[in-house]
Amino acid sequence: MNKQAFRTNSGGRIDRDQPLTFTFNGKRLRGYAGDTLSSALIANGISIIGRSFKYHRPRGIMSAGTEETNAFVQLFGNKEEPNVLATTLPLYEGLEARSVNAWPSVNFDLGGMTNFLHRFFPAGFYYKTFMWPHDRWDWYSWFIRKVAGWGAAPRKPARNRYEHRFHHCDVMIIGAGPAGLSAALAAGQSGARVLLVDNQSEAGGYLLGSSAKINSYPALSWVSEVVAKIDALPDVVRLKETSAIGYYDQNFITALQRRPDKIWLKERLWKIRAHQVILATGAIERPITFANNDRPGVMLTSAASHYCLRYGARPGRDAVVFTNNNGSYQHAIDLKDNGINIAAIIDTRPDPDATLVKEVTSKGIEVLIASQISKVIGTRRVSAVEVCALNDTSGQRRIICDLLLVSGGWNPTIHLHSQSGAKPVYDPDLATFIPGKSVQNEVSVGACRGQFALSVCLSDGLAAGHKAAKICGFDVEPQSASTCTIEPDINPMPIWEVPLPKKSSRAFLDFNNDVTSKDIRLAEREGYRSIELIKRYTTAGMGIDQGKTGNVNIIGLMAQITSTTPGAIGTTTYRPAYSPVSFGAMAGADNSNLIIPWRRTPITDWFIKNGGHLDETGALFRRPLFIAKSGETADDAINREALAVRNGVGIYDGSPLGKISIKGTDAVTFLDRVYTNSWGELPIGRCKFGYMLHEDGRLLDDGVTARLAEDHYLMSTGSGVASVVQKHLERLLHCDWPDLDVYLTPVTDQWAVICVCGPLARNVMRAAEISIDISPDAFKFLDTKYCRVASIDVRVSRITYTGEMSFEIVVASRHGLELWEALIAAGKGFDITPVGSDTSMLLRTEKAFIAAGLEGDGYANIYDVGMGWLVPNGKGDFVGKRSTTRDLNKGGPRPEVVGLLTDDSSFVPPKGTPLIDADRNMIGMVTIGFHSPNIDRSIALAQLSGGRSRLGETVTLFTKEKQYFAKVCEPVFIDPAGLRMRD
Amino acid sequence: MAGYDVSIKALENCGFLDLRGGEDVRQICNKHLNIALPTRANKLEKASSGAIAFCISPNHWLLQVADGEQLNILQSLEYLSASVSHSFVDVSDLYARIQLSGPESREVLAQGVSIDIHPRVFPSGSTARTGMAKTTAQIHYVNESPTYDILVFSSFRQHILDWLSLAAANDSNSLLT
Repeated sequence: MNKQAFRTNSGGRIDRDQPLTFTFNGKRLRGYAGDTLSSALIANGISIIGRSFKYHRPRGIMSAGTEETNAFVQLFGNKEEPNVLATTLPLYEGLEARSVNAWPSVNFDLGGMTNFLHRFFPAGFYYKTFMWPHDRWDWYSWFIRKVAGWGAAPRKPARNRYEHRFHHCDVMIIGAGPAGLSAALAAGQSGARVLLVDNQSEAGGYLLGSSAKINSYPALSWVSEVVAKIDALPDVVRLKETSAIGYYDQNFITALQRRPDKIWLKERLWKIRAHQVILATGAIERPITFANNDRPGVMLTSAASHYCLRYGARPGRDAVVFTNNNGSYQHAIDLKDNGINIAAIIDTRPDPDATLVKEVTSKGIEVLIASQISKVIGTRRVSAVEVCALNDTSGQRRIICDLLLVSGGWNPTIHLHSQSGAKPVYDPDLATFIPGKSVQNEVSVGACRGQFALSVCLSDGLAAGHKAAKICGFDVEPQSASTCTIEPDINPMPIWEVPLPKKSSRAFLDFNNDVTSKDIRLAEREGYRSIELIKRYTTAGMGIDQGKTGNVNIIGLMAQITSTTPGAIGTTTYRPAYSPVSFGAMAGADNSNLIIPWRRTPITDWFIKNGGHLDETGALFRRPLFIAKSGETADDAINREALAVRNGVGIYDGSPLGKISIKGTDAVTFLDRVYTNSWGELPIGRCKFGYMLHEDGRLLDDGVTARLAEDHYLMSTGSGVASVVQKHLERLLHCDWPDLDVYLTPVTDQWAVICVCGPLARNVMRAAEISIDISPDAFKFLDTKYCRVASIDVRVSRITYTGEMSFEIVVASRHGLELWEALIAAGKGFDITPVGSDTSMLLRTEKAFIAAGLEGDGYANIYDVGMGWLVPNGKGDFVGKRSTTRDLNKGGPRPEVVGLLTDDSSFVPPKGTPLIDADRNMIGMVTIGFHSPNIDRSIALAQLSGGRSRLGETVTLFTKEKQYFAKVCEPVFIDPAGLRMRD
Repeated sequence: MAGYDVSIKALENCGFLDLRGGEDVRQICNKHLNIALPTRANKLEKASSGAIAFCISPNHWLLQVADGEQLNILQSLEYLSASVSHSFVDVSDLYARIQLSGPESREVLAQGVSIDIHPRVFPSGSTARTGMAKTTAQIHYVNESPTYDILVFSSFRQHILDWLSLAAANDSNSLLT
């Protein structure tokens, strides 16, 4: 195992008493608790972490945070996961990581051939290349899919689970750097409910890698003190390793927490509603665009400082700093103090801050002003840089180094501010975009609003925390801000691209997607002006890092090319997620059988135990399609059940039927208005069938309504439309007829419904000791009566969905299973057969009982389905009446429901089969088809244009395999006179 | 099974009555039930008898009583309200009751309930009808132990029990099929 050759002897926030072993690309390495994977790799001198996406160029670690654009790894072992950021992944014992996008290894990658052929892979390569031959895209895509993508999806389910959590707070603070901590303390001490989230493993933000002082002590002492105070506040929640990833309307924010407080959790997705939001998200240092700026060993200046100070890991031994701002000077000093030789600071500015220059010079660091790096030497690792004057590229000076630190200025992290709907604005002094006017209850503080000085961050946070809490009703006297190291303004000089030394040179803007400055120039020459189109054409900013480091440089270069300002170019739209989110976190815990909130009737468990094949049959109820005996196929079971109902007796669970209690003195008026037929004459104890229409005359629902008392009706609706009907009726009552004395109460789950049907149904009811006379004369078709069955209080109705003599028994749900089992026992001597919903559908098809969701396909009106007799002449107004009076809705070319008997009696037409005429015009479609065991052949219902006028004709059924022919017939196949159900 | 420190159990049936009507109905109910039916949605009142009245929406209440009492109350209220516009419906089997209790109840509940259940906003004795685990539930914060009673339509009873078990568990795979 290698010694950690690049580890400092002391310092950093790692625990040197806790060594950890890990492997990277199969090599065993060591790090310490407190390391990230990237800091441990740096300490071990690993410079190539992965290969770039398009050209497979070797890439190293560029940053120390979520902005990382190169260092993605695939994790293996128990925590298998693709595309994990090495810069934010805490090191753990046994960690196994590999590079992505490299084969056979990251050090020798055959994909690197594309780098030599880069001239043939310009911007828009796909669009230009794969257009011809026009029919070969499938062929191309096979290859493209082979080489595309980064890591591989895990092969096994996650061992740990994911969780969602809703949370509310008065003040949410995003970022626990100096501004965020100040804000959290101020808001928390006021008594407000505060949520502080931070994406790092410990609070402090950039102070973790800084030598700054607060109150004359190292800034991290201040951090510890403030964190202790915050954690002691009862109504403050502080989440570490938590990234705020989305900002939505009404201050709704999502945040992804990695490694939450419970060991069994992998990630927790927080869904947060905050009264006030304080964005203290800091800023991201941006690189500079020059030739070979992507070589391993090129790193952001602040990142190098961070690795050195926070982790005790030196990213190199001999460094050159290339900068355009004052911020890099302190980093150079910090690095020098920690053992890294700073060969030179190359400053593009002709007049950098004299005090800073003096300070670094006193440390023995050479400063080259008005200079630039024209080229990086070295392929697998920086070995030298070539430096020239800003306005004279002829005189090149080569400086030997193994580390090139760059700083092209700082970009405030305005992503969440922009996601909130606000528009960022360009600040020419800072050469970057800063937050614009807030459109939600949010405020940006500190570096994320372009205020980089520590003193301003502290005072900004304090003021914002106090103000936010005050708005929420918590007002306490604000504290005074801490004193701290005074830092100069960063005073950057924009530099969007260093001129390339050779025609073949390439400077990278988007490292993640291998987009170069040449690609942007080419896009502009090809006519792309909008930054949104440039993004999509070149794929700049579309990688895993979403352009966190590259986007502003791209905008700046585009402005330079088109001789305008970055502000005039504008930004692309910032969209969630700010950082990658796993699918597991999005799904949360309730996957598998809890994705849908399945409903159960009191009898569902009985079906599960007795061979019921359950499926969703409307309104989230799972019902048995059929109840198979051992060895039976689905068809066998359905045929057996259907024969039993026609020839013996069946029993069916109708509990999912929608049920609405209608009470009030105007109940009859209400029913008259919502149904097409009249309800005034319905006596108590009788039921009636009705059709309900939309206002435009389309079928909404059909069902039976029973009159239970003078002003009390119970409406039944289709299972799948119960809530739709309920809302429709409530809207009518509340908006259109508020004068009616009617109350609706949905009672679907209150009652279990069991239907005993078939010629022997009466025998079973008597065997179950029904307490009333159910002889045909005493208990007629459509009667409903309260009574007792098997000593249980019930209401029994003579209504049917099968066309057979039926007794529909309504019982309180708690007694549903008890009654079902009593009826099964009572029916044993009559071979009573439990029936599923597929069988029920077959039985209703034999009888042409219209299903509003099939024959009424969303367009059909009441005449189309042959139910026009339910629209009495002279009836008063009802919903949809106007449409029933329009001629175009009656007869003519409109589809009408008919029966079909195929010439091939064994062919069952699938639902939706088109019916075509001799000219192959579609004239209708099959709404349902079955094999009917009762007439021993296939039957079907169909909507057919001018259907009833075609009775006796032959139509053609078009299927993918062949054409079939069918005779158009009356839709009722069994007992057309309806004598059985009235028996 | 270890996981969140909670207890989940299905409670015995209660009597439930759905009460609808105007102020006159409210007065009749208040007098007869010795309770003050709340006038704002998501509020509840308790009677000394143990009955609980949840206000569902204006002029709409759900009355929870001991199982077996509901029919007598229903008949009495029907008689007393004969002359005024009203609707009283026995919905005792419409609802199932599930109780979630234990120190980490809030953490479990917050996985599926989007409303603010912090005690400062939702103190003991509060109630709300809201979405829960993709269905609708009446949440009642019974006491600060903390204990929550959850009323759901009875067809969702098993779903909510399964969902709570999953939310509280440390091993989701053992609960999923």
